[in-house]
Amino acid sequence: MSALLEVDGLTVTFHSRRGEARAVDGVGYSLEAGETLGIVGESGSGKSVAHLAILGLLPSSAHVEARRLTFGGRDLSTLREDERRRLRGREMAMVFQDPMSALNPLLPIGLQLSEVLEVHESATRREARRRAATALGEVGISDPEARLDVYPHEMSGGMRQRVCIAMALLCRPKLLVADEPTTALDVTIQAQVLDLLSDLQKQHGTAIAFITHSLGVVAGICDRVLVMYAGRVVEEAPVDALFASPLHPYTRGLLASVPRIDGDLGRPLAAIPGSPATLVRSASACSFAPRCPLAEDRCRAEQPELEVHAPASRHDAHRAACFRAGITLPTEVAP
Amino acid sequence: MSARASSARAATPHASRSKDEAVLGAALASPGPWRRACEDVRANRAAFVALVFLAVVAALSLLAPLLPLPSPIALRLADEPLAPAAPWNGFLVPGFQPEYWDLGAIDRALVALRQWIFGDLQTGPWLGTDQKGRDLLARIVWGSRTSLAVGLLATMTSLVVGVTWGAVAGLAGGRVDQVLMRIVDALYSLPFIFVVIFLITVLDGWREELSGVLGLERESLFYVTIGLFYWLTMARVVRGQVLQLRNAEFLAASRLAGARWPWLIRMHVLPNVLGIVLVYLTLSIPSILLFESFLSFLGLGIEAPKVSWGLLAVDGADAISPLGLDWWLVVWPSAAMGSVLLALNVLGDGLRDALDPKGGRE
Repeated sequence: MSALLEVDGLTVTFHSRRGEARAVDGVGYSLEAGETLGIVGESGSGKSVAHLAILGLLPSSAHVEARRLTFGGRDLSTLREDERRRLRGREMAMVFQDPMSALNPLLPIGLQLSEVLEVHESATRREARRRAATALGEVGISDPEARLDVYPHEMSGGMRQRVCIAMALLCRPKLLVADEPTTALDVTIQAQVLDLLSDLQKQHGTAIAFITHSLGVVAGICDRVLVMYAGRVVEEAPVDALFASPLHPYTRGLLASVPRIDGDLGRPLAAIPGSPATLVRSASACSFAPRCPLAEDRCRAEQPELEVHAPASRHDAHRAACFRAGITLPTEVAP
Repeated sequence: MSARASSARAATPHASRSKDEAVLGAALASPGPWRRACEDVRANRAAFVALVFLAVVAALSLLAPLLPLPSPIALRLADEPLAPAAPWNGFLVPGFQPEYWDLGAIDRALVALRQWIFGDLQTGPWLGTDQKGRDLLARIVWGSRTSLAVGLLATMTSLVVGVTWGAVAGLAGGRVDQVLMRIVDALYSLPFIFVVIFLITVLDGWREELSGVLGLERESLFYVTIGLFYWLTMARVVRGQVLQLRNAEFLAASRLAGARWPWLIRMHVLPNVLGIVLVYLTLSIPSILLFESFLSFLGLGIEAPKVSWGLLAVDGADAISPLGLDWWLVVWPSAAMGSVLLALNVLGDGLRDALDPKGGRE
């Protein structure tokens, strides 16, 4: 069975005055229908840019290259702009981080919901309205008919995010990119939105690419996880394997820095030293090396490739891009 | 005691539910942002009064030929300037002379209609007359047409050229943006007033040729120069706003829904820019009115026998002499100009508050 989305060697370059900034550097993964892939990494690691590139939403100043970029068997890089436009909304959709700015403050939400239908299916106003109301009902908004005429500022953050999800799923897309959809919400609403997403996924078989900072969210919702650092995939694993035996020192550092309620509360939180790598850099070293407690000479001279390190647990291999994969960090050693 | 407590407990959920329903009902019935802005302006008494005042002024100046005003240019050199006479001492008096400069066809028709309705009756010297015996009220009302024309011209160039220029620059970005905005910067860096004075003075030497070949009068030249410069700030304001919008997620969301650019501009960009454009317009018209008066005052703008508020200021300045102060020649034109400028500013302020999405509502 071929995957819904196959990405290989995806590279996004921005030309800046200080040289080329490689926001995404050779990212590759595949995503199957009904699967949820978590993409974790710190700010600036390229997780959002990579997906905007897949959706074709980057500004023209970005230079996108890929060895392979197929969606449902079609090669995205050879599609014309209007063909890609037709794919968007109908077959691929996105939920944004901030539900306030993702809705036009001047339009009632009903109009914004039906936008997709009017653009793609030339549905009549009444038909579009009816389907918009159904979609609102599906995301758990009560009295959907009346809510169509409500403006975004009259809704709470959680409700707005539900509206955004309804908007994204209105045309039953095969792929949903969720870009930190719960970051702007408080914890109880986060849980509701996550439940809602996985329910809708089960009903419609949507594949979800879930971009997030939060390892907790990843553990809760994802099947597989991609860890990104400085534009590269540094580790890819089924979610259980990642949490049980992280291989890359960056992943280990991330996991070690999660505060634990059963841990020693007097101990300061573990942090990864240094600051995120700049994107203008040489390609002949591991970009995590300057911050890595395990770095050796080889790490500074050669860039590690993503390689299979552990045998597949089910259908997926556990891969990492590190010469020192699997070695315990000094900070992880309990005192 | 316990019975009361339990009944209170029983009552509470019901009460809170009905309160929730009330809140929900209010939210569902609440009007859209534009209607809300209109309501805000109406609730803001000062802004509403200013709006009504400006509407009245605009109506008066448009209908000037139809009003039973004396001719703004008919001279009565034999008489001393008349002090203002209260309307009840001679509301309408005979003596109308249909003297005007070259009026357009519509204005001529209106004057004919006025003569048919009012005959040779005209208003008394309610605001007095000037040194040449011309009626001041008539001159203020007819002069306001120049201000209106200048205001409209500035508005139209701002709206058409400025908004398009700024929106194209903001949306296209990159090199197009750079080129367009550098042009604006270059024009901006010219000392506007000197350039206009220079242009008008130089072209004045060619006026025979110009009016022969292009049918250009100095007045149209004056309008053209104002139009040439007046869209610059608007272009900058709109570009800034569009740049901010271009990165708005709702635009990306709409693009994700597969929308084309014309749709995006119509549904998302223009409505979000309109508020700031409107506010900026009302706040910038006063400066253009002042500019017109300034040029006319210097003798570079509107020329006699036509009237404008700047020329009235010249007359007023002449009236201040050691021989005696014809105060009405200073006070009434200043009051007219001052009140219109004030009204525009108050309205602009009110609009800004009303259209500010973050503006609090009680």
